Amino acid sequence: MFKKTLIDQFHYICDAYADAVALQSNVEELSYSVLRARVISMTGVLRNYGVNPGDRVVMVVDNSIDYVVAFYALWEIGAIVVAVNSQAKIYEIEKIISQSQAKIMLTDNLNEKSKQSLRATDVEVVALGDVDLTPADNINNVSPVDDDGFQAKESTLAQIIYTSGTTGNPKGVLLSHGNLMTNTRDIVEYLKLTENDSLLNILPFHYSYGNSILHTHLCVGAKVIFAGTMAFPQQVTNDIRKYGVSGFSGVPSTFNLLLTHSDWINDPPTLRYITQAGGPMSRTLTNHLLKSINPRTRLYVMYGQTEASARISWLPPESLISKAGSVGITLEHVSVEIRDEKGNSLPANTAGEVYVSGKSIMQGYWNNPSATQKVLHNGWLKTGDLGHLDLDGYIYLKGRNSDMIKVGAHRIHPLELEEIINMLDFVSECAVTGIEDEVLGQKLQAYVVGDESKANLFALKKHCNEYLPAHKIPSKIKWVDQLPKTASGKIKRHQLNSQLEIMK
Amino acid sequence: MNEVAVNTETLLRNYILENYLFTDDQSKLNNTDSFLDSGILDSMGILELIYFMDEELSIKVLPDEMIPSNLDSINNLLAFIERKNS
Repeated sequence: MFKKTLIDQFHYICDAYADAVALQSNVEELSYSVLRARVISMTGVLRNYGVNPGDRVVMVVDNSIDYVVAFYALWEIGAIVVAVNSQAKIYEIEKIISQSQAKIMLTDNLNEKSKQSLRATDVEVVALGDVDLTPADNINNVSPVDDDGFQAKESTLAQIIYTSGTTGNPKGVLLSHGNLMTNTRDIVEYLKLTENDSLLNILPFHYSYGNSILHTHLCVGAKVIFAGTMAFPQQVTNDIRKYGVSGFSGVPSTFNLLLTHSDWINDPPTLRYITQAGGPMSRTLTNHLLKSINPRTRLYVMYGQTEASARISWLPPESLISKAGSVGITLEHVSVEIRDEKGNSLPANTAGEVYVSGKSIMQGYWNNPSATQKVLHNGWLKTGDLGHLDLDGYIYLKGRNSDMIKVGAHRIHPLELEEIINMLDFVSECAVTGIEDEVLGQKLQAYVVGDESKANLFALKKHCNEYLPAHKIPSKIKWVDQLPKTASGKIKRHQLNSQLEIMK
Repeated sequence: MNEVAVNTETLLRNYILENYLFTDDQSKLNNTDSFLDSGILDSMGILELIYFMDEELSIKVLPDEMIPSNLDSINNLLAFIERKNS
């Protein structure tokens, strides 16, 4: 049974599965009733800080029980969650605070320097470590305190997820409670998730993939276990075995690491389902993974976008061979069309751009009507992905109609990095591209026009490190005399790698 | 510490300083600093470190040796390499 919003569903599940374990970390495990008690207790804390329905609250919090408690407490109040990468540097966080007009920021790991920097903004910083919610654990079966009578509707805004923007400013994807509930429900149905499932999670909750993993499992009464980092793949494989989980989700590089840097192949874990999203996985890796898993384990290849709440399509595991290379069929509440450059619908087996519509498509970008107009047309989302449909309605993707670079699970727009690098005096201009990488799919390479020296290289990397999280720092820097440009002076981005290699 | 160990320490320290801290100022890295907790390396950085050890030191890190107590600081690396070589 499904309620209209995920917060209503949360209360329904907390009643139905009060004693079942909802969350497990290496420190503690929480039943649904205790989780709800902490959520209610947290709403008191947040209200004391003046959080009201409709307020945007930025969360810079690592995956943790605190993250989940704060997230659902914000929904309980009716606030809009703005979860940000916990590795983001203060420069990026400040942009998001200002763009989302957030008054409160919840965090668990800001250093003193960052806190001082934020004091220059109007935002109030609340350290989750200083909030004590434990007395609430003694309260059994707490009911939602609805003193201000707030009740989220399907159209109420629930969350803003920021994505790498083309102007250097991040774009806030607006998702309503209805968007998220629809998508979550569709995913639960095709994955056949139940209260008997448990998942070992390694994906960050602030991205739409991790976000959907959290909500799809909590909305059926399943268990989410927090795992360590993919820096130590063998430990992740060991944890899958140790906890005997039924599910595991990753991006292509996750599976590459598990297959090459752990003993997964020698003794494949017994899982009910594995999900893969976050960029195309090569056929070789897909086949490799498929061969390595127990025949009863169902491998779900999926495709999605933050602008579509998370998921757009899924490939039924029985079609992995017959429809190899496809990202599958659309979810129940998603429609797809392939269109030409003028927006005309194209027949099967004809390549064009992927457009999707349905109840899980975003409301637009926060305070950015021009960016919204570019991608939302009469209820259809222009995804920027290129591909075709076969006669059975299976989607096949082939590249993107944009410059977005995909490094592991991260989508990065080159302009965002170029803006940072161009701040340096000794750089006259630069261009960032993606180069192929065996593990990550792509890596970042910066072509820089400027004086080449070891000191400048250090200064450049140090500067990047100050403004950007590790995954956005170019792996390779190449100094060049000039960048290839069109007659009108635009950088020929698609030709950068090939042209500049020849020019060297 | 013998000469080989000193060279190994210098090699590892310089690799981390130059590629992840972007400096040659030796004071910026303590041998006890946790690479992951202090944000010096992320998961890909750990992997790159493993490739570096293979190429430069001929140290092959096996999957079950990929644990923080072997890899998460200069001191942990040095102790691990010494055990591997002994």
